[in-house]
Amino acid sequence: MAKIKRQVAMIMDLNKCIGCQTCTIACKTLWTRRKGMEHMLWNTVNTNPGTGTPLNYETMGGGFKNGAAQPGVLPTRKDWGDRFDMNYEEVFYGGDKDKTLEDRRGDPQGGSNWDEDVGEGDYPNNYYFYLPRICNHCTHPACLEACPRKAIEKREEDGIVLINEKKCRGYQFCAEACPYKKIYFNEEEGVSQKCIFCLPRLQEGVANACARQCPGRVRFVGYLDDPEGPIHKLVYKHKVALALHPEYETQPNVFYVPPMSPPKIDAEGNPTDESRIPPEYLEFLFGPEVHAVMARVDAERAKKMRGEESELMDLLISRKWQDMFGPFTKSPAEVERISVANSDQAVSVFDPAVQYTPDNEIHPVQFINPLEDR
Amino acid sequence: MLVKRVSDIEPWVDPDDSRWAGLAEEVVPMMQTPVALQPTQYIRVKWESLPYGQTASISTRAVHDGKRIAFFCEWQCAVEHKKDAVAIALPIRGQPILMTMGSADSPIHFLHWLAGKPGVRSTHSQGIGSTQQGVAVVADGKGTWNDGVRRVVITRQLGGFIEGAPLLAGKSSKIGYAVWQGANDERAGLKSFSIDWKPLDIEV
Repeated sequence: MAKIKRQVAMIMDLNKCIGCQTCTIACKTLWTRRKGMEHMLWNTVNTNPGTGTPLNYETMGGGFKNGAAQPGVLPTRKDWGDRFDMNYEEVFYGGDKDKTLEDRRGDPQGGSNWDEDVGEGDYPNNYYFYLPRICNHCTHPACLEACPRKAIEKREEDGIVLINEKKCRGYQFCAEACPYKKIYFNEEEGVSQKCIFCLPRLQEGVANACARQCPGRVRFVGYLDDPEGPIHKLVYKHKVALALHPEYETQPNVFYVPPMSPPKIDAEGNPTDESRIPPEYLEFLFGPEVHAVMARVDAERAKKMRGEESELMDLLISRKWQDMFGPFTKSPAEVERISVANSDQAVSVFDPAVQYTPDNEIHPVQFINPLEDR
Repeated sequence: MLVKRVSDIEPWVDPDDSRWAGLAEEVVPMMQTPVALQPTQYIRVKWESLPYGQTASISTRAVHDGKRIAFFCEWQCAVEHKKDAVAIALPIRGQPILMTMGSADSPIHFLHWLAGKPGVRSTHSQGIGSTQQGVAVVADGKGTWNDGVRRVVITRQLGGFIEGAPLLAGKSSKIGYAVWQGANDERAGLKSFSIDWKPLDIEV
């Protein structure tokens, strides 16, 4: 693996995520519309605690332990939940006013965010929060190391991890080895596919579709080594952003600001000093450092409430939307669409636009989300 | 293995054609590819205690009609699977070592049949983990599965090619085999293979 000159990263502030799945749809409509990608959601948002996507992914192995590769399980399409096949035409145009929406496959047994808003705990102390996930574009990618074809590349320029579909033979060792289970399989094309961190957008100075579309201002994007950018400040200066399951030893480059918790309510209905989200659950997700992170966020919040300055709170509040995207602040509307013929090596690694076109003619690269108008 | 000359190869492309049973078979012993030779740590760790490459032998036969050559392969395959596969290996030049899949000076040409895909894939190898798309060659494959037995016929045009293995009537070459049991999740280097080259003598 080549030495990485810079690393792009993303931070998701879990205190702001409302589970609306706008990020999921932004990604879906942009990247996974090809045949064979129907079941793919490169971006998922799940209620936590919960089973996750694919179902029970945290029990499927992979990653490393003390530097040694760990065996993993290959998720099935059933684990992913496959594609829902709803009877929209029948309900909306069928003429039967009593017809209700249903999955034409029968009784589905799973799907993305299957246990939505279930959470844990008993009223009034039940709790949950949302956990969005994409490929972590790890510094020590288990997928890359597992591939016998050397079909996975970590780009020197920005650390984005890509599957070269020309080299991929569809063996899926990568999908087994990824402990986050973020690699899908396209049965039509016989290749593994995953989040590309919106590389063609970043190359034009446009932030990731999932980040720009987020109505909650959850996602920060930028370079880890940019001291003026939000990523560096939140990860290194204020130390409030943590990787998910650091014990997998892949060194993710997607980080999370852990969710603050409301207090537990006692029998008389009064708030207690105890956190409703069990600290041990947050430790399970983000490692032992999470307790110090929560303390730092609490302390800064208290400062702000006293009327004092807090750079950390200002960053997390994100009054200026564009401040969240480091150097990637361009609007897609400002960017000239690039043609496949002029595309550089990075784009040609996966050529999404080429495969979007049914007639196989050269069309402009569709790296702008059609839903995006700002 | 002696490649008998026949008048017309067309009926022989069917693996279930009765003519194949009338031809003397050569049983080739197979072995598991060593786990230590698997190209990534992940594969070695995952498979070090799992059984794979347990196909003990493969029954082989071959004929040609002066234009095309047909290789017949038959092996025990308890469960039919779309990823069942067989490959025949042919030396392109030099003295390639089959177990290490050749080298830069001594590459190997493979014709690879996969149950779930039409035709055969032509690949080229210069060592473990180096397999790339091979030379364009007129080749095809057809497979059947009946009662726990896989039968596959791989056909190829006779002749010599740049970066393709030469197969010429009246000449000799060598052949090797690899088998993947799809139901056991065998793919890539997780396979059984013929331990060494077998002589291939093509009748005039």
